[in-house]
Amino acid sequence: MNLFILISISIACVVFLIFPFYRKTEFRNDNQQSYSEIRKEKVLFELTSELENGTITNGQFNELKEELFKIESIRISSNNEEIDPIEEIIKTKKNQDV
Amino acid sequence: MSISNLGLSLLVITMNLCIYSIIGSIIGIRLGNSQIKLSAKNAAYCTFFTTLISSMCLIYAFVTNDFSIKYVFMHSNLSMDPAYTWVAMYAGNEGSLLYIALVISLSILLVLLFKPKDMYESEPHLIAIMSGFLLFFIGVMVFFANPFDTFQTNIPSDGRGMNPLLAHPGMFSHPPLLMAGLATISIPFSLITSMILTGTFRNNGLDFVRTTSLIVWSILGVGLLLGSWWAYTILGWGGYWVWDPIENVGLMPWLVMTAFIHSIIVQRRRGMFRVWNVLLIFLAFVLAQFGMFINRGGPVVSVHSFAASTLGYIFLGFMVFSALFCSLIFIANYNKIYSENKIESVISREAAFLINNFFLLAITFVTLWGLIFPLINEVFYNETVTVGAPYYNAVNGPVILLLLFIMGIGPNLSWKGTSNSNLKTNLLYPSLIAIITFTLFFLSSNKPIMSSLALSSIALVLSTIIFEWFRGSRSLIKNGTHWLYAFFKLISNNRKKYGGYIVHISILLIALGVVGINFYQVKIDKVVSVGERIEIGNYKIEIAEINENNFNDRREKVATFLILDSNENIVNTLEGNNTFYPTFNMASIRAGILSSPIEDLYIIPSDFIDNDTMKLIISINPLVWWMWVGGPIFILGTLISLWPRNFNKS
Repeated sequence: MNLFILISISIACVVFLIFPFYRKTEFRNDNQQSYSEIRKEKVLFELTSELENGTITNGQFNELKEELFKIESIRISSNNEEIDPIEEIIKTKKNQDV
Repeated sequence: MSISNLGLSLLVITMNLCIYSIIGSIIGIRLGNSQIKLSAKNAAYCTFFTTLISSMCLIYAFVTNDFSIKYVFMHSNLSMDPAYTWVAMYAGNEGSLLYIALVISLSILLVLLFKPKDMYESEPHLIAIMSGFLLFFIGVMVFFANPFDTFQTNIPSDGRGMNPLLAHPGMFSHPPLLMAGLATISIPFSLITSMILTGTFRNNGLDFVRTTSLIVWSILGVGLLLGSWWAYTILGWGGYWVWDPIENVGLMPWLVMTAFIHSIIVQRRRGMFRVWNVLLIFLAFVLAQFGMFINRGGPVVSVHSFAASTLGYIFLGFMVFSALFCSLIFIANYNKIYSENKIESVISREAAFLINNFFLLAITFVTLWGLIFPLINEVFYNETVTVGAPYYNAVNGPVILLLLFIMGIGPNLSWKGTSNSNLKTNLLYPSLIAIITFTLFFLSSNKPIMSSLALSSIALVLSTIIFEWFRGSRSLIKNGTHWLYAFFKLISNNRKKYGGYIVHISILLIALGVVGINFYQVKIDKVVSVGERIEIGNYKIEIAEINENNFNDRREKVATFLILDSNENIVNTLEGNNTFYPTFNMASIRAGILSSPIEDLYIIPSDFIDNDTMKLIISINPLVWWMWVGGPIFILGTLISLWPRNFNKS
């Protein structure tokens, strides 16, 4: 009985560990999508507060928002695993505009 | 395969899962590969289940009296009440390590499940750090302190039995809470470290860090309070706290965590104290490891270390490693942590928080110095020195008083700065009440000035909270709303703040007990015989009888005391006992306690001289009852503070 428990647990652990590799594509897309949503939410929050503070104008806000959505859509379709800090890109763009 | 082999095999599997989880996380970070990261995360999840089943194996061995396992033999016997099986599991070093590993693995599981999504960047680092911490404890068990170690020959038919001091209801919760509190300080530590490493130590995850810190802090706090209750009722010390090393090593991280949960509010509100917060959580973590070291074979003598072992050097090594790791992370990432925001006014809420932090750290370092001073003296001067309660009371007493004072002032101050008119409005009535309290107690008693100052500080804090509640509730009363409804609405609207005030009230109640016992206690030592009467305060005590009971594992002497009123009527009967356990060469004394909100009558049968005569220590301990009332209020306040604003949505 004890041996059976040990073998069962060992098999369950191994299956659980290799599971992400088995569902590779599906997981990657899900993850990318949810990370992208979180990133968009974070950057939009920052942009809104900057708009409220008067650091950026309405026009700049809309432009940066469009830029953000464009970057995110490219990132998802390109299947690139590396997560660049999107805030940096927005900051560069903002500095150019200002 | 025996149950011991299964238990050990599962520990080995857990160890491998930890290693996989650490290596997987690091490779996943390096390669930016989500599959490897997720696989490492799954390994971290699995550690809980393997540790849980391994722990169940040990409990099963206790339940079935499997004395082939050395740990079961050492900590149980056939006559042990089955209810104490849970206590027996952590009654010694090996079992308590398994329990700690179980708590850490559960923390990993819960943190990964409930962590906010926007902390995704730091997740692999978090997994690596927490798995590394778990790996240490599992590794110690697998290589040095195996709880499933067995006798190869001559398997005993009965066990040695559990340490008799642990046979107390408080033991079901005090040690596990204390150990869990010390072990789970690793949660906020790991969260912050992983956020620093990924450059995401911003406001995103701070609420989660605060929530986990509050949970850890309250677990440790309740554990300490239960320990005090246990000491008060069973150890026969005549008190709830004796500044014993084992008590102190639990208190120090709690004090630092208290500072941390206050200063993290400032970071959340004002973006300040980032460096300070990192230092505090690192210090709390290192002190928790110091506690593990002292508890498990450290060089300091304690009256109640149940997990003592010869593994002190391993825990010392881990503590040194933790300190170096923290220093390295801090130095390498200082620029990422540094915040340029400065305190704008000394009369501000954030300044009050900072002063509160300094006082808490002062108490911590005074306590730490008292703990290590005998060691330093022995190593460098070859002298044996004992640092006892008088040192701690003399040095920490005034600092605690100042801390109470700042607790009363702080809530009256505003963020960024307080105008003079606001300060006058908020502080006028609380200050008046405090001054009146001081004058009354100072003039009406011959006690030291410290007692009057302490009571007036308690009055200041309490009146501050009541006035704050009053002002807040009044602003919500409109269109005939009942004041009680407005009061609950006020608390419900800002649970973090008002939950915190409820916790402050519980601290005041504990302080009230401390003041009562330290300044107003009446105590006598006397040798008495059966039939003799003693008068103390308003009590008349008659020694009714002394009975001796012999059991298989102990010899028990029970004294019965009759409490009489002024008309010689019996109003109560108390029992105190002194029990000797030959197997452990240990005595356990239980005091007879008549408790009321005003005072406790506390009778300790410290020594039985012959069949009719004994030495008694009798004391009247004023206001101690409130200390134990403070415990549930502490839990209530913490729960209110933690309760999500919209539970269903959360």
